[in-house]
Amino acid sequence: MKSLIFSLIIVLGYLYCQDKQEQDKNPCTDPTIAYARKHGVKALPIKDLPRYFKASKACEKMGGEALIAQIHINEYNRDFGQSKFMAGWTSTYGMCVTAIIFYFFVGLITVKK
Amino acid sequence: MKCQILQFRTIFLFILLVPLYGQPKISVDLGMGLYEPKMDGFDNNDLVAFPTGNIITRNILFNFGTYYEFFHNARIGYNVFKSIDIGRLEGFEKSKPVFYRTINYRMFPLETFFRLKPKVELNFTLTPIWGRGRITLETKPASSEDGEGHTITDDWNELLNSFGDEDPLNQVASENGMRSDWFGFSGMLGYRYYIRPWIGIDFKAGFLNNSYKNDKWRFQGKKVKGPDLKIDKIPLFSLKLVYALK
Repeated sequence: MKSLIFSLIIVLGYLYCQDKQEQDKNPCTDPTIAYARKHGVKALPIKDLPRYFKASKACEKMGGEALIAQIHINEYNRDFGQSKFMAGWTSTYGMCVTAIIFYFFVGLITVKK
Repeated sequence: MKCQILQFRTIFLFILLVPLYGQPKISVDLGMGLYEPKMDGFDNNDLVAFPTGNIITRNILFNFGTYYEFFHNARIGYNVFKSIDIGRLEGFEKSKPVFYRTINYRMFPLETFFRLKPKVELNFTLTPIWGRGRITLETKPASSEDGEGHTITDDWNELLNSFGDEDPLNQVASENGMRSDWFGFSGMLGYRYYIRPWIGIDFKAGFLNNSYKNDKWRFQGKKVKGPDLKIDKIPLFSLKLVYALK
């Protein structure tokens, strides 16, 4: 009897230890979406990307298009802000590349064999 | 001393925090290139009829690359443009071997860029090239009607002879590919449009310059003559889909 009660406690413990996860009523409250809102989609770990894409799709279906669009706009603006101007040596490099290509095509057109 | 410890702690903290808060940006891209080399060694070969060249085997390059954005305006990466040709060779004395030819333009680009608009980027690329050409023959002498006594060495000698090599091979081992390596460089200007913050379509225009020489091929440790190719100073265009992983 003692062992029966003991094993029942163990079995029931396994059965009831985890409450069934409540179905998310609103996919727009998914943590991945909250994270993407704050840091951008590219900041999400790769393993969370499928979850984000699923949640964002569901969120859009539930009328959260504006929220998802805002995440994208924020990310575009963040990237734009970061690389709007060329910093340091990058502009010199860009100019060198442009000059090399320009002279290559000028040579290609003008030089006759 | 106290000051030095404090300084060290600050620097150490900075080193630790940069990877935590910085967003390393890795992207992969898949696409194709378009160029126009002159492959006289294959197309105008009098002795061997190579597979007829078409736009896929002559002008299209398959492209795969991966980049790491190490700075807001710069990225480095690895990029391969690959040209492939497969077919059966005609004109051999006794057999019709299957011929594989690949040319890989392996690039290690350094690219700088800036955003013209939130969705539009202009980029500038210069890259060294490690080119590699490879030719393989899959010979089936027994399949020919009169294949007796005909060996794989004979097929290779016929092929090399068609490229102008007059030093015949004595024996061919089982690994039957000839290859050549060369260096070159390329420069490209690119326009990228982001259809999503992490997906972009990238169009590039530039040139390809290779220091290829047809007498620098190797076949099983022996120097042989390869096909005559003109792959220096040629314009190159590429179109690819870029996916930012992180």
